[in-house]
Amino acid sequence: MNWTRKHLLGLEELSAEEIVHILDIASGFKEVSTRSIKKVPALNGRTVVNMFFENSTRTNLSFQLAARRLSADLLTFSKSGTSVSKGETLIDTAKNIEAMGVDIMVLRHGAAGAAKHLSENIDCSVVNAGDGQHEHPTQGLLDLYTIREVRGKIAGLKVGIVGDIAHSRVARSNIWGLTKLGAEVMVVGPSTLIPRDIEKMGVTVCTDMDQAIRECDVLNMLRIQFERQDGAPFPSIREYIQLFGVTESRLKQAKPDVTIMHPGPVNRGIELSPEVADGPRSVILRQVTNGLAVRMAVLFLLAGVDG
Amino acid sequence: MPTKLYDEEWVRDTVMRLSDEILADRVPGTGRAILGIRTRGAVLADRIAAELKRRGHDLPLGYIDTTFYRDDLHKGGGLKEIRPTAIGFDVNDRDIVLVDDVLSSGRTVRAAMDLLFDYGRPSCIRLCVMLDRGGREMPIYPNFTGARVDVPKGGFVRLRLAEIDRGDAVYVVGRGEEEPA
Repeated sequence: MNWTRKHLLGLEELSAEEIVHILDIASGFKEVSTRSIKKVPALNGRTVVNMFFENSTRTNLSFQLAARRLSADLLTFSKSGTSVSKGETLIDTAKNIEAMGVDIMVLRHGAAGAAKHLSENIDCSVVNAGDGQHEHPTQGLLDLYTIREVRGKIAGLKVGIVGDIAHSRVARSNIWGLTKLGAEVMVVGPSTLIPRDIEKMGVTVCTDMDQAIRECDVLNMLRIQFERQDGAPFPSIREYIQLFGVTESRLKQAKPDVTIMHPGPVNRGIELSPEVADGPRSVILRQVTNGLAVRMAVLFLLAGVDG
Repeated sequence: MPTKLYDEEWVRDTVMRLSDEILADRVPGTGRAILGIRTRGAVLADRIAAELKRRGHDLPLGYIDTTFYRDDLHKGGGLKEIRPTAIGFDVNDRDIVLVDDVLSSGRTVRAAMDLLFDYGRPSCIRLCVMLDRGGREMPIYPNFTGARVDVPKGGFVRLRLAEIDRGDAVYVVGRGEEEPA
C-alpha cells in the first residue's frame, strides 16, 4: 500500500491495512538494531523534535533513539527550563520551533487532542506520543507488533486489557488497534475504573480477574496511574492486588501459552508480582525493543509524505 | 500489452551462463559470497547459488533490502514491502557478488554498497544483473550481465520469476501499459 498520512494522531483513524503496513515496515527496521552499526541513512538531513510536556522515560528515549538510528537530527524539548514555564502557548512554542526548520514533531501532552490541535496549526508532521487520556498510538502499535511476533497472529486472539481503563490512553489505542485487526478484546478491572459506555468500542467488560485469566490468550496489564486519579477508585491497594494483581499462583489457571504484557513503568507487586513480571510468560522487555522498531517505522513513513 | 522479450528457456540458460562467469572470475584466496537485492534479485541469487552448489561450490548466501538507504525517500510512493536484510555471514574480507534483476540508474546498487559498508569491509564487490536497461545516473557497471535491453522512453523492462510470479520471462513494458503478472 501507499502511505499517505502526514501525521500519526491515533489508531482510531487508521484502517486495518494502514496498521498492518506500519507493523510490516517495523519488522524491516528491527533488523537494523541487531547490526554492529545500528544506523541507516533514511532520514539523513531531516530534523525531528521531541516535545514532551509530561514525564516519560521509555517513550521519550525510544523516539530519540529511533530518530538517531534513522540519521535524523534531533532536538529535545521539555517543559521545565523552557519558555513554557513563562506561559508561552503550545502553538506559539511549536511555531517557533518549526521556524527553525523542523520536519517532524513528536508531542507528549497532558491534554487530550493536543496532537490534533498542533497538527492543524503547523506545517510539519506530528506524531502523538500520548495526549492526556485520549491515545498513545505508538504504544498501541508496539503492543500489536509484539502480539503478532509472539503469537504469530492477532485475529482471533482474546486479549484482556486489565486495570485502569478509564484513565488509560494505552487502553484506548490498544482497543482501536486490536478490534480493527480482528482480536476479541475484554476490558478487566474494578467497575469504578471502566468507562460506562466502553462496550460501544466493541469490547466486553469483565470484573472478575480469575475469569479473565482463564479465558485470555494475552493479558495487557495497565499501570495504576496514581497521578491521574482523583478520589479513591478502589478501597485500597491491597484490595486491588488481591482482586486484579497477577501473581504466580493466580497464573496457574491461565492457558499455558498466555502472554503477559505491560506498557511500563510497572508498579512491581501491584499489577504484576515480580516473579510474573520477570517470568517466562512476560514479554515486557520485548515490547520495549519492538517499540524502537515501530517508532523508526512511523518516523520513516511520515518523512516520506510530501507537503 | 507488454512485449515478451525472452522466455523461460532463456532465463534458465542465462542463470547457467552467469554462474559460469562467476566461477571463472573467482578471485583466488578470498571467500566468495552471494548477496541478492530484494525482491527479485534475491530470487535470482537463490537460483545462482543453487546452480553453483550443484557444481560443488556451496557459497554463503544472503539478502539485502536497500529501502532505508535509498536517496529518493522525499519523492514518496513506491514504498511497498520491506523485508529484513539477512546477511548471516561476516562480510569483512569477502568477495561479494551482488545480484539484482534489472540495472538502470545504478541508485539501488549505490544504496546496496552503502548498506554493505555498514556491515563491514568486503575485499571486493562484483555486480551481477540479469538485465541492463541503460540510463545510468551513477558510475556503476555490471561485471556479469544476462542481456542488455533497449527500452522505449518512459517504458520499463521486467524480469518475472516463477517463485513469486506467474512464470519465468522478460517483458518490455511501454509507457502506460499494464505490468505483467
